[in-house]
Amino acid sequence: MRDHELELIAALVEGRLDDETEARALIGSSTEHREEYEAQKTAYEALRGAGIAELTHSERSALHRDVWTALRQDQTPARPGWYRWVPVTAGVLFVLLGLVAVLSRGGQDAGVFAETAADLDGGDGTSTPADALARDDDGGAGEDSDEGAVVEEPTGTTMTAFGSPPEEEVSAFYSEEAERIRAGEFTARMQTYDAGSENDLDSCLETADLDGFQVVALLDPPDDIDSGDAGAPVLVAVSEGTELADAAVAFVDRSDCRLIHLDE
Amino acid sequence: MTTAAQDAQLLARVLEGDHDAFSELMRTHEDRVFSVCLRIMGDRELALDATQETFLTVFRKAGQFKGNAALGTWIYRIAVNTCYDQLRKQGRRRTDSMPEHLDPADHSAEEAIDAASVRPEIQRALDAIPEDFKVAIVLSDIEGLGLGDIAEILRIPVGTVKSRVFRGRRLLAAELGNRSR
Repeated sequence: MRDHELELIAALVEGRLDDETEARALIGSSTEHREEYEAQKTAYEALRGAGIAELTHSERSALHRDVWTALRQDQTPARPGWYRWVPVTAGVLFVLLGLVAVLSRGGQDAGVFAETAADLDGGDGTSTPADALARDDDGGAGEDSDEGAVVEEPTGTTMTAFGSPPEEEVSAFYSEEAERIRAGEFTARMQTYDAGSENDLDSCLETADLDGFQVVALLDPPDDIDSGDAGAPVLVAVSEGTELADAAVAFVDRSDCRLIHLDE
Repeated sequence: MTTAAQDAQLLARVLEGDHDAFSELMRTHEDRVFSVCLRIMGDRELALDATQETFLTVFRKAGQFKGNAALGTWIYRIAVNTCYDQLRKQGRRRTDSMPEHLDPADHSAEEAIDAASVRPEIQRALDAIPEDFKVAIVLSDIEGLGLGDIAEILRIPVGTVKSRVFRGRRLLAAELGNRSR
């Protein structure tokens, strides 16, 4: 069969011909042409009916999560062999420095204690620490009250705790992350959790009073949001039994299992 | 489908380290990539692996995209090559189109079956024909790509694409005919 005949038959099968007369005549001209047409038509219609396969919601979420996890591992630079000794060396140095500090302060502390004892002793050697406190409370006639000076509390702060970012910023950040989770977007800040430590994570969720939730990822918040233990990731948990798009999303500080934010 | 200008802009943002841009790129192309991988691999799990590998390659090689072809065409090419690599590693063609361990009572399994719109007999017939012909008719008759696009993806002449499509359909029809007896 010639190429142009095959193309004419294929065009007829695919519905690309404005005028089918020539093609129909060709098919009718021989068994070979008719069989070719039947085969092309059978296959073409079967394949057109197969449709484009789609990812399920959970497959889509898993795909994004796994791709970002793999890319994160890509971006971690390879470390030289000697690097594994760094934590050991750091630990040894820490212990040594601590010992030096403690031993060198030993002499100084003895001096401080002696001085304090002299302060408490009003000269007759019979006063007690309680007496000294009582004298301080009284203020003493004509004595200065600078020893009982009041330390003023800071004013005008919007911090929830000393050194923490404003609550509104934290809330806004986690609300945004919750929306990403619901949309199945696992960004570079997220990583899969270590399946081997599942018991630990379940008990953490229990501590945070999150029954019916399941950890789906760990989140590495930016420094200006992270109010917990620096470097500890945040657990990302979603409510079970509902579609991800409708799930409640909880963020838990892994270091102390404190609920940071619940987005419903 | 995105325009060429939109694709170029998206890729430029990816190269600048914009992770949101890459997520957007994935969302735009993931269903088509998965569909091609599923038809070629014939197995959902393998297709998911191939899809993941495709996007990893897209990210790693984003700097190599020259813009000579549409971004979608380039991604398709990576997907097809990834599937070929995976099939070579397997050493044989798989004939099971549906994972047997899926319990129909399992909600996620139902979801998978509904979403796939897979007709097992067609996938089995596809798996029985040589890969070159299978890929050609999958791209042409399932994905609806033109002969020129397929030629770009596979880096073969248009004439060769036509030949593979016609021959692929003939082989598929024979397989379907054999299986219906």
